[in-house]
Amino acid sequence: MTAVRRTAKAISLTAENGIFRIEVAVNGVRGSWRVGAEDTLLSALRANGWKGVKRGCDTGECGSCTVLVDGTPELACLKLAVSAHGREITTIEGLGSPAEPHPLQEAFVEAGAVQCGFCIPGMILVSKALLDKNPEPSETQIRHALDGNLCRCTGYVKQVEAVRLAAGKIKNREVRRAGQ
Amino acid sequence: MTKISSYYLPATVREAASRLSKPGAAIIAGSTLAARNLPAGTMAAVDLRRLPLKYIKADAKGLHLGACATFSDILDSKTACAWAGGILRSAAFKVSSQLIRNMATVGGNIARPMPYNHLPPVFAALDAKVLVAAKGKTAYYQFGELAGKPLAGTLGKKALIVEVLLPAATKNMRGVFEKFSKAPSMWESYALVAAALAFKNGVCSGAGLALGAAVPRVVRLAAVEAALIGSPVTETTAGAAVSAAPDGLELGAQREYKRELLPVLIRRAIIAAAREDK
Repeated sequence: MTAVRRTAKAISLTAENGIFRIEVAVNGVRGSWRVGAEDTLLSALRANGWKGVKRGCDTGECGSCTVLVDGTPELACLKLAVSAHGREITTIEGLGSPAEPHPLQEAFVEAGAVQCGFCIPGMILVSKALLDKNPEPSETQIRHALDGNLCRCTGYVKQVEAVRLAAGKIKNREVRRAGQ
Repeated sequence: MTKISSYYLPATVREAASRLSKPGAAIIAGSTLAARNLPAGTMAAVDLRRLPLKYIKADAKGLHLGACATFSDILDSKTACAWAGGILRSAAFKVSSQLIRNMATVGGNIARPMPYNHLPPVFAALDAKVLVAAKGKTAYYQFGELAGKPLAGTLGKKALIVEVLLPAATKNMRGVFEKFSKAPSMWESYALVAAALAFKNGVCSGAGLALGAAVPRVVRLAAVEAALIGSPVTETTAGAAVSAAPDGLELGAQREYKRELLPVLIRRAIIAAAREDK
């Protein structure tokens, strides 16, 4: 297995028989994973049950494998799994559930932005990061944020509408909370 | 894929440089390219994410871009976006997609010597200096010196890029970054041109012009710069200056097309930079 050694603040992981043991938090659940030296974050997430992360191009072109790494959208297919040691990963499962969907998940359904759905987890995660940083983005800003997430079913119009709808929902929710 | 047996997350530049001095070590930074393409023989990966190099700050010396700052960090920095007429903003924004902009780093864009990288022409045009840690020493090198001795072939391997410094004198230059590719989001461009001009009383008093993508390594167009300095920049003077570009550029594939394209693109960048001054 892996020997973990910390000197001052440095961290050193050593593989045993090609396997690293890493500590990672996915959707708030902390865990210890065994990952191969060649495993990508995408394959490790899916192997550990987080199937909302999609394998698309596997070359960083399509955005289907987008996850939030410490809050920033990144491509899980390009990252080595071992590089997730000590990090907070958010997948689509971490945003909401069928019973309690996130406003973005509601908005994507209400706007008719979902067709086959394969690209949607990545789009929603990118949109979450955008709205966390900029609660009232313009259409141009939304399009720029989504420019790495390819959709082969639609022309992106409905997804842009969905993000704007979600921005309104989140704002209304915050106004309601402030009034309580 | 290369199988690594050790993964280091150093906390200081010194420690990272020390790790890199050992055989079989390779750097991982933004993970857009290197992580899945580690050099053959790599046994240990040195992940730079915990180093205090994710910064962008300006002082009397100029604009300091930490090696771990991403393209998104550049776009989030008002100072960086305003520097030299927005040339950095333009170069960062034209990188393929938001997801790549979130990951790709300043240091990685230099260390992986791909002709299509956006920042090298900008750094060449702006006379950037690069702070490099290697063999227990840290020193600034002119950007143009990185490809020569003693650093040639060592960046991102034995030598660690710490930061890029854009000299203070370039702050108010008027810069333009032109990219010509099949589609705006494509990484593999036909040509990249960075043009930075300074003006005094309407006359061009300083110029930095660099060409990327069309050539294997970034080329500074010194003869074109010299032809621009000392005159107002007009369509006529820009056209005359472009004709001073060297004939012997190593244009590689599609050279006939590039011979037609480059004068147009360079002239366009010069005129656009001059227009900003007005």
